[in-house]
Amino acid sequence: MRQQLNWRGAALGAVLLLNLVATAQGPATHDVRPGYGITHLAWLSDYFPPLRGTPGDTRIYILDSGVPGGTALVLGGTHGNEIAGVLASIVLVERATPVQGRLIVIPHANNAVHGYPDPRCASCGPWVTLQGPEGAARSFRYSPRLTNPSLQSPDPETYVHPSGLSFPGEEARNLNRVYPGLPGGTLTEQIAYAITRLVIKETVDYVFDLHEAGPSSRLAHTLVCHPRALALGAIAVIDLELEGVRMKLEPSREEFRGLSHRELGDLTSALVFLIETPNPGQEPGLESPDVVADPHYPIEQRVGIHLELTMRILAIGNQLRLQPVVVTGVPTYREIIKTGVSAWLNW
Amino acid sequence: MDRRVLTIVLLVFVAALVGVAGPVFNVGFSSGTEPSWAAATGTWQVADGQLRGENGRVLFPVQVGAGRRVEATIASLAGEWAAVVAKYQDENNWVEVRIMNAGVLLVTRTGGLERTWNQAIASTFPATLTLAFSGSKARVLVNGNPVLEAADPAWETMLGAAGVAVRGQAAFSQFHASSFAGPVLITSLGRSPGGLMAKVLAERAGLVHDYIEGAQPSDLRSVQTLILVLGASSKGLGAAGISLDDELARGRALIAEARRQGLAVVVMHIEGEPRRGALSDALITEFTPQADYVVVKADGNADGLFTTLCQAHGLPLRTITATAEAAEVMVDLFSLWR
Ligand SMILES: [Zn+2]
Repeated sequence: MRQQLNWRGAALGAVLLLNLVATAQGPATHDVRPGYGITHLAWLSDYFPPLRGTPGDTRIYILDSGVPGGTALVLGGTHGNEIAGVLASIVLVERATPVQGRLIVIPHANNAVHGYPDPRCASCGPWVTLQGPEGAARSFRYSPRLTNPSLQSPDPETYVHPSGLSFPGEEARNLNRVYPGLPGGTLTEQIAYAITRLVIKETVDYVFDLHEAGPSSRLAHTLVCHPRALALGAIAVIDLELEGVRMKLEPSREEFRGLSHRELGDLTSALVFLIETPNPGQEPGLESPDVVADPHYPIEQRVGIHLELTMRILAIGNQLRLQPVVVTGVPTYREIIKTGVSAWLNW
Repeated sequence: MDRRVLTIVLLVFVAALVGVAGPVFNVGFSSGTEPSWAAATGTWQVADGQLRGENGRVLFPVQVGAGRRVEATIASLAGEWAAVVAKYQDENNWVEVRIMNAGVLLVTRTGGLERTWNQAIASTFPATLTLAFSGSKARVLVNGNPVLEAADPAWETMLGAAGVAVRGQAAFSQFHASSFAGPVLITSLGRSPGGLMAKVLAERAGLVHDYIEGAQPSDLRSVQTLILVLGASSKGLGAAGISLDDELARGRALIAEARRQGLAVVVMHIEGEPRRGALSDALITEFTPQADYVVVKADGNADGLFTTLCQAHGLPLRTITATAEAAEVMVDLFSLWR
């Protein structure tokens, strides 16, 4: 472990340790092949410089139409094993074209989850492969849910969110428990802080945080909405059912402190949504789940739900005369279940 | 059960069988109480929760004018047709929609002159047959799906009784006549987002409404109908600092006030199976029997709870398969189709 400090601040013990490790290894890289829609590349550390050069930094893809309108932010990979959200984000980066307003995509919101075995699924990861045309293949990281413990340890006995709410200690490494984040906090808290800064600085109007859950979990097939976003979510869920997809609608409650949809929604004017699709890799007790080609929950279905709901909510917002964000080139649910995810990637 | 055959001559009814609540008239046949009503023609008996008729017509004490809908659930048909009757004045003046195995036939007789409209459909039983009027127009629905529209200027002013009729033998499990009207107050009992979904759908249906998540009896001002959307989650209630008992009490108070004012009450459960469970079921069991009309999404009634409650209380139950269809139900119930 190399000892090197690349930034100064009111660093506490844990923060200090984290940065020692962090600089030993930069951000993980990924196979993302931006399409014509991408107008700018950025780093999460652009919004919080102390993350620069650390495994917590991550690529940000900006699709700016140049036409005045609203801004939507899509977060994939808040949890490293929730691969449908990652792949949906990558489809946006590779295929979406902005027509009005801006779309900002972070395919790996927590990029510090890689490089250790998934404690919840021994046979899952560390890569999943999608087949393309003419024998081509692309591999995407399938990593655990939480920040790599070697980058942030030890876990506290109990993680106490600044709101006073407490969680089991390991949740200190869960990006979706530590919002709005802390500039002088743990690596995970700093990532959350940087995302919060981005939402504020870019005056984001919509946030979509893409997740997955075990198929038998109450959460699978759920759209969680900040209360200000609930009416929009209701319309989307009602309409999506007519496409053959049943989603539960849940408002984000007071007790969801630390979660993106609660904190970002309370702290900013953004309409915040969290989408959960079913991932067999997260089902407790499954022997060797196929996280891509499960017969009941194939990846195209899950990616399709993320993309369709995101685009639908933006379209409904446009109809309701909210800040318009118009994006084309994104497959509908029906299109992607027919063709598979690969057909919507760049090869 | 007493299977005494009733041959009926006059128009009488038994209060125990009939829920007269303002704009709504419901008759079920499963109360076990023997009716002592009268009917125009044929042979009728009540047995096993059904009204069984042969070659005749029964009329109920409800008048159908320009803005009413009449519906009956036909459990089985052995014979030519079963029908819903409306605007019956005498043998020469009435409207009737008949369902047969291969279609529906709308017949109107005014001053002894008959007009008919027909539509071929493949009928299966049980089937709910609805005849709805709006001014000079009429609409026929089978299981909530519009199958026929017609117009006759005579219907605008024609007023008469409603009932059911049969040629051959048929069994009816439910009769309902209503003239639901807006504006409505929509509230959720159990604080699930179903209430907000109903609001979105009311907007879509063009139904004038107010949506108040935690509506109180004092909010029942200048409305004609109360829509209660049932569905609870422990998280929802817990987070709002509300107990199940609070919601039960609020629901009781709302219904009491609605009844005091003579308002109609529609109960909906439109979020399906995920919105069932102990808390939701407590609300469903308490409030479904007090409705004038019940709407449920099919997967929320997979265990038949709503069917059982509605049958036991003689209430019409409308089943939808997707939440969005609740907008169509509103269009139908509140005659927004004209
Ligand atoms: Zn997640």
